[in-house]
Amino acid sequence: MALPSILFVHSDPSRALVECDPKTLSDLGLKDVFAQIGATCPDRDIAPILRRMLSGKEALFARQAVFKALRDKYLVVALEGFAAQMRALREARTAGEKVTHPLQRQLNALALTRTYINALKDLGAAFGRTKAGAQLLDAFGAALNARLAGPEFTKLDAHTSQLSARLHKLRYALSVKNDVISVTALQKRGDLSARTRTLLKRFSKDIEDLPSKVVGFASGNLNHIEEAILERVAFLFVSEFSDLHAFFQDATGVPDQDVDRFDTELAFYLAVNRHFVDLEQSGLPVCLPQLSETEKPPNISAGYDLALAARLQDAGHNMVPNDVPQDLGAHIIVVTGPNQGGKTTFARMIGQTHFLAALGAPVPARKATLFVPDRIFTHFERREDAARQQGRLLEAVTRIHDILRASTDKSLIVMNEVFNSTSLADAVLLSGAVLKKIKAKQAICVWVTFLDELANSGPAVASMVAQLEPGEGDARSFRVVHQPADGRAHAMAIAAKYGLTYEAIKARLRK
Amino acid sequence: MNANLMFPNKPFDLEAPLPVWSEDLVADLELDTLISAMAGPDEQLAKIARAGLLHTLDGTEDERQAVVAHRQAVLADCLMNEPLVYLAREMAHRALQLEHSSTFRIFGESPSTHVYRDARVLPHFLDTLQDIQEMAAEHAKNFSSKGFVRLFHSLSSTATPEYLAELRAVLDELQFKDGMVFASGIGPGGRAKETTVLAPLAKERGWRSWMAAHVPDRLQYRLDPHDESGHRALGELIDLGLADLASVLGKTVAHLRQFMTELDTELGFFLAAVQLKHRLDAMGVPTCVPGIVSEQKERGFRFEGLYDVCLALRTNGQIVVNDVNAASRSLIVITGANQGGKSTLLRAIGQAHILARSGLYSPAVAHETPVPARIFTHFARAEDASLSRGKFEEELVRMAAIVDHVCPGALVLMNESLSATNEREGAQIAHDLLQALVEGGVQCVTVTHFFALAEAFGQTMPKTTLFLQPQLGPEGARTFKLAESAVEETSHAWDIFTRVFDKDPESQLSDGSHA
Repeated sequence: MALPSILFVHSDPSRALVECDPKTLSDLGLKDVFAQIGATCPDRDIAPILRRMLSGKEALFARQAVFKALRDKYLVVALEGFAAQMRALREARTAGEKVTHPLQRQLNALALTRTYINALKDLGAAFGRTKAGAQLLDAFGAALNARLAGPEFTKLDAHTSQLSARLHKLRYALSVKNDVISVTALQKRGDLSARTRTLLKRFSKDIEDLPSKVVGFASGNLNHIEEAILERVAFLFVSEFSDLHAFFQDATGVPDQDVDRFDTELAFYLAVNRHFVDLEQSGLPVCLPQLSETEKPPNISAGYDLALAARLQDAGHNMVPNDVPQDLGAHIIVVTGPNQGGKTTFARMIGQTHFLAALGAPVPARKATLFVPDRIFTHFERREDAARQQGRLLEAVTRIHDILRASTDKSLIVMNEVFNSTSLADAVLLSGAVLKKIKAKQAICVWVTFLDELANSGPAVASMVAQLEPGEGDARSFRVVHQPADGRAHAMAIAAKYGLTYEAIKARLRK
Repeated sequence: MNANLMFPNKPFDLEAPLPVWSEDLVADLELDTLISAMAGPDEQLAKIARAGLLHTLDGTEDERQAVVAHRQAVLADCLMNEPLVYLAREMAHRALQLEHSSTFRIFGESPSTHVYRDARVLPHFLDTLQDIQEMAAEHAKNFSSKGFVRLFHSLSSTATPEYLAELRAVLDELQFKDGMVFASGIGPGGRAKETTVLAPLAKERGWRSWMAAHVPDRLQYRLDPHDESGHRALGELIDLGLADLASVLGKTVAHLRQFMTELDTELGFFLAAVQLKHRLDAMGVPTCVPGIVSEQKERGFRFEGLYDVCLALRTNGQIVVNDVNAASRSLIVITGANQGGKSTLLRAIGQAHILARSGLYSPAVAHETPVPARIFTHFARAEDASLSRGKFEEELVRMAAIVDHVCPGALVLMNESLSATNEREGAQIAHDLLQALVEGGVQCVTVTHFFALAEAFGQTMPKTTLFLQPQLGPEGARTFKLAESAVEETSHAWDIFTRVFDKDPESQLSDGSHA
């Protein structure tokens, strides 16, 4: 019986998947985050899974259920353990293909078989102990345990485990003198390594921490000296080595293809889960979003930018989370406020939560109710490119045109400082026209701009403003709140620019 | 084993990076003069002195106080027993040189090379340990500091003659004059696993020795003398068996090298301090052991007869002394005429606190202070006066870097800071900044020609600010001495307010400055 997929409810999901433009992921800051997540399972390619947005309640709920099940730490430990064993197995198998000496091949085959058997047994036991409560996982667990209970598997397990235990406990003495190597039975002799260690402990406590045995490695062929020794060891222990030979004659190949596929699918869940658990442990909120099929205005409490969170954490700073309040009532959000005040971060946060929701994954927020978009579009203008004005404007207009054509009333559009390279009057004019089209299209939109005019343009548009620190005139708080754009020019005083205000220094000294 | 002379419970890390603001500190306080007086031409000693002076003391105030008290006691012992301390440092220094010369890397870096080398290097270290231990045992009664007492105790309890003899015997066996025997098992792929070294065959007696000598041919392998790859492979196998031993021996050599290095470094620092004391004594200028007070009880510091020690070293004892009583004042504002000794006093305050924090003598008749955790300087830079906007930004960037690293218990010294802009703006920023620092537990001293700044503090923090001005002699001559001055032009309303409060007996009792 084939083992089912843990990613999709239906066996052929390709029609339901929309691949996200890599540029969009990069604009949203998710490219680096996903690279970071992917780096935790380097030999499993989960990038395609991270790019494909799901649609349909059933598919999304099934994934969310798996992430919910991963709240169980014991299950995670078991699954992580399985993934680690499979990785070790792959590495060992690659290394073992080049081995030539018959005794070495036999020993390697036995070790690989044992690793595989143990990995599957541990996994089966983990699924047997608890119902994960997630349809995708439970179906997989049931199929796996049925396979493990079969006579073929149980017989192989018993035989290999006995043989390997017998070989492992063998010890011999190896003497080297004047180019003569002798292999003999072990006799009682003083252990010089241990005695030296004990004596030297008096100087330094470090010495106790050492592993007292050095374990040899398995890759590559034995050299002729090692072969000569192994052959003599086989003379010394005849019965164990003839049983090993017999096992090798009967051995068949491992592992199965569907176990390998499961391992990749599992890597996706574990890597994403690990990332969010790390965030949670560092004090940031994480949740599975409520998915809405009707309400387009997002409702997010304590949402934050994943990419910035990672950077700030490395630097030991705190993240300022932001809310998108429920009473917003508008599917277009225009964000204004001082430069470097957290506007782009806020827009990224909204884009990220929507994309992750469409993966069936957790989102960086305490609570979120989100409309799952059919597609996500971004247009981010970079200030430093403003020199090539003419070319850039054409490029921007073309890009926005394409976005408007491709988007539907179910799409999310994230705009960041568009038309920066034009004059103020032109920017107002062009932006106004684009905004009108988005309104007509009924798409969800987040628009970061310095144009207050956009924020105050009718009931479909909600204005959110990045805040200054109350009191002192010019320190940024990185909070973004729902309020009318106030038209103040947000010129920053010098002291605030360098973090030298009374409040900034007091805050620094409180830490 | 650790020297633990600089700190009660951790080694002094000479290689740890200096605080990023150290360069400014050295330049602004002219510390190179101080360092060269401590170290003379010895570059290594200069590095030690520099690190000892510049490293911050982090941790709670109690911990900082404990470190300073620890060093003051060790320094007193060093001054009493200078020849012995000098000799101990020489021994450690020589052992390190010997190790260095005998570890010249000619064999490569395999475990068997390590074992070969370390089994021969360790006895040198053991000899030095024994020498220092014997010297310590003979003269222990002349030392009273906790640092030396504990060091001597740790030496005499670790490096006992019986232990050293046993260790020398084992090291002798590790030269493997009679071949090697390993115990091993069948590891991954049939390679040897869990290989350990057994005692040599030569120790066997009777039938075992006979058995060992008569191994059946099929269990033996005779290596062809021309089989180069075979010899290499056997070498690798031996390395695997010796890896554990190599690591244990390597750690021990590293540990003893570390211990000798600690002795060399830490004794070096105190000897450099003794050297400085001799220089100053010879010039006839005063020094004192700083009295450490708790900033929990009362912030601020107090000096009698403070002078600029670097100026004294450069001019062979020509000094101007100042008394500064900033007890219970967390801010000193120095204003007044140029060339009146303002910067010299500011530098003297900085140098004295650097020395006090390091556990050394202060250049004063008397000095009382809490232990400053970190010391910062922010001096206006003379260069590029033309680019005044750029210059102001440069000042702000430097100030922001200080704010990044400042902590409660720090000392910040500012000399005409933020003066590269107009008075209103500069004074405004400087006032808020200093007020925040002071309220956050930072001790500040600022030299400024901005009257607006002094005036602002006269209003906002009149009781916790000490205002100093150069004193004029008869006919307005410069004396280079500074004295407390009232800040004039305080607001009328504030005047009345403070006057009423000063008359209130309760508020006087609670105000330490009147005690």
